[in-house]
Amino acid sequence: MPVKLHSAMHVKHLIAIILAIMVSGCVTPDPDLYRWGGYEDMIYAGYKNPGTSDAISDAQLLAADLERTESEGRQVPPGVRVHLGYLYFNQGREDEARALLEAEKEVFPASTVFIDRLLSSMGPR
Amino acid sequence: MKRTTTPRWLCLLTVISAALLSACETIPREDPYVKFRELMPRSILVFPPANESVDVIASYAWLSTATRPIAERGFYVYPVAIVDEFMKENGLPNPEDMHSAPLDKIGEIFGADAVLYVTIEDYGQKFRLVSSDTVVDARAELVDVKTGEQIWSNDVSITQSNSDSSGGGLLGAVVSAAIAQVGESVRDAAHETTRLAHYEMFNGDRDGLLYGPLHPTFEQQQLEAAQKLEAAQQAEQEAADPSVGDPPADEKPR
Repeated sequence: MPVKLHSAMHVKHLIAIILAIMVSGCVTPDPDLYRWGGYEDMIYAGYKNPGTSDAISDAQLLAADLERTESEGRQVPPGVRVHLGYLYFNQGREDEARALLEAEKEVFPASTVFIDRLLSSMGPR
Repeated sequence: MKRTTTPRWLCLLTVISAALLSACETIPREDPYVKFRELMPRSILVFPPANESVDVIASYAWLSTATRPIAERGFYVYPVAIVDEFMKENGLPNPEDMHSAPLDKIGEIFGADAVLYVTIEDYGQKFRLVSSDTVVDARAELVDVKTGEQIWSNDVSITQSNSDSSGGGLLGAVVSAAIAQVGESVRDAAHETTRLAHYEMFNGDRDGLLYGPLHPTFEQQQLEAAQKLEAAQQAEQEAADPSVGDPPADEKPR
């Protein structure tokens, strides 16, 4: 019966797998901490062609990115909420802007000093 | 006097296991990361780089893709474009001006633990007869905001060849190289090379950034470093005073 042969094969496979894991232990790339979406490309496009950069479409892009990242249960990168909040504020969407800045502070407490400065520069609620 | 000799096979085994264990990492003689660990920043403010190249887009091509590699290393990175805008609105229109902003002011405004100052030394296309190279040369310095001490520095020099084999003979190649030099695609090629430069600069095992507090391996990294330091100190102590190495049983080792 091939049962014995099979178990021998399994042991071989197991050894091969263990060896592979040991060998690859040094080089396995880490998965990204954040989902980046179009944030960096949008920034580059804004600097490269300053005239064509459009705050409304930038905000739409970031908002769509943010929604998708959260719906996928992934982490929003540092700064993205602040950038979107800044764009919203300039469009008169002040409540949404404030909510985004508060969220940044909550997720990344290291941002607190800067966020508080931005919030106070937005004037009284 | 009786001599105790270690069996040769045991020596060999020790050497082999040491080699196996150290395969993943090389331990430098002097740890260049002492300051980094001591002043470990949580947040990094990235200013647009000072630009020594002739290409005006160099600073912002670099800046626009700098967030990801640094944030993925486990640090909070302030929104680069908003920071740039903020500095411009406050009377510092150029990267060079921003770089000369006093640290105490930076700490007060942003609350940043560290600032990354980058200088682009060369950027863009180098024209050759039948091909062109895309070049990105840059140096970076991470400075502690509270003390002004340098936490880390690195430089990077990337040259990517864009030899074009689209045919047309020598003249065709010269023409297409000339077109490529002025075309939009070239700047994007340089921009892509910038991503590679970032990777080399920040992610190197020997000279890249350490992992920051937001990275899942941060705790482990700090623990291992502390253990390594303790072992090194103990070895040093033993070398200085051999009697310390083997304390009597009634004396508690420190």
